[in-house]
Amino acid sequence: MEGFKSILEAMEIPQDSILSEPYLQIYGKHQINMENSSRILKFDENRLLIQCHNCQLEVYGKRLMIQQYSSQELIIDGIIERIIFL
Amino acid sequence: MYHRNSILNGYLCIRITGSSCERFLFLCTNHHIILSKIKGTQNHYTAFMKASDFLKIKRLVKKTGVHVSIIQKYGFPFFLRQHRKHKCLLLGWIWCCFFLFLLSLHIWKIDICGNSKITREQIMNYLSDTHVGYGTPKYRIDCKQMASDIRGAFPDLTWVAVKKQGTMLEIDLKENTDSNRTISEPLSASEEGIGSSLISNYDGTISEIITRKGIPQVTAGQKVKKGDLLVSGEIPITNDENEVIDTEYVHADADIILNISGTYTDCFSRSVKKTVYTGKEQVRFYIKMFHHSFFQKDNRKDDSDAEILTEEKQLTLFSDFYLPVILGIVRIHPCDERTLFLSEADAKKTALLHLDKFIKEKKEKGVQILKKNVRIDTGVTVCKCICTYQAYVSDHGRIPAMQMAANQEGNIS
Repeated sequence: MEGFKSILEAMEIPQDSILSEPYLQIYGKHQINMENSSRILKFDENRLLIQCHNCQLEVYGKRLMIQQYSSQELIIDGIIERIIFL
Repeated sequence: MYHRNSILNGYLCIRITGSSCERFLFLCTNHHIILSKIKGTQNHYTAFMKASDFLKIKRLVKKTGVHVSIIQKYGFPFFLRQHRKHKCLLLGWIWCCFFLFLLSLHIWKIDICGNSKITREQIMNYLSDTHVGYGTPKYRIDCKQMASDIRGAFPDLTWVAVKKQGTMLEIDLKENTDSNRTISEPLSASEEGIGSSLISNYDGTISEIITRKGIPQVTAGQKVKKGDLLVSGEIPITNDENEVIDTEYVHADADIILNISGTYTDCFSRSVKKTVYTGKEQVRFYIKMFHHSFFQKDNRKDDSDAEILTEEKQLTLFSDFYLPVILGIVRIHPCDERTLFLSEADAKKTALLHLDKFIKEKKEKGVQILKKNVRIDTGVTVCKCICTYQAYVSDHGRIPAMQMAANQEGNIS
């Protein structure tokens, strides 16, 4: 895997496109745009657990809401407190 | 909020309950069903989805065993369905759309930009003479033709552009700003051929002269009187024996600075009439629709003096879609004209204001005042201001070169 990553780096190919790594854009404390998410495992207004291809991502916060959920992207709104990779 | 297309096509707020809600959400995304504003609680989820997608989730509901119920329906199709029995409302909507369409076919605002000498009223009067105005159908206005007509009617205009934008007719103008010669006073054919000479407009002393075209008749330090020839536009052509064989006429061109001195006298009475506001400001509103005005009743007595300020605002639907409805506010400030006696300080202040105005006017005419000696005498009833000044003049008069030659010939004979 490490070797494959170094090849990608040498070829200047973004890792998120080949390895399906989650790609996150965080706008302050209020919004997260996420690409390459697999599925939602658990969701309530304080906690969101997302299954990615290689890992799980846990978002803690207050008044969490999924602004948009499609196969391409997942937009999370609310007051974000913590993001944990499991 | 939701996308504009979703409002047109309709969208739903749904509640998802059951044991495998997360699986249902995942399957929705896999089937390209976009869910938005998903809120989760321990028992259920709420989400928004397109109305057209609701039929697609039937199979997914069966597969996951969740229960989906509609909480609220939004958008135009549902609005129509909800109000299908209210025929008058529907007719009203149709009539409203048709009425707006009719309004969009006419001009409801005329915007004139770039005019300073020619007033808006002059242009509007000309337009009304050519049957263009408030409510004229747009198809009747030919912008190119209209621009050339306006140029023809107002010779002082150097450039005119006419544009129809929404229900607004935009007229952009550029006036001739050449202060020495306006287009209304063009060079006559004879003047064009014979050239022109520069003459002095004031009595004074030449401070500096740089001639570009023509023959200078004065030198620096020389005293001149009003009307004296400064630069001649008549150039004699001589042969080898210094005999004049022909004369060429050119437009004399030179930078001449003339040093002048003069006296300004201003005398004004110390008792002046001043407007004093006597009562509380009254505000009245009115609406102008098409060519009719609907005024609020005026409680003011007719004989009382008042300062009246009117503000108008034309309603717009979009940025360029002006409607034939104008809202107006009239502010009436009752006032009275009273005679006040100016104190010594106020009289001096007024005298200085008058002097500043005089200097400004002189500056506009090309006279730059360098030194001034001001004396203000305040009497019992009048105030007198005397100012002696020294100034530079860079603006000079122009006469046809041939005229100067004729004058000289006349003097010789």
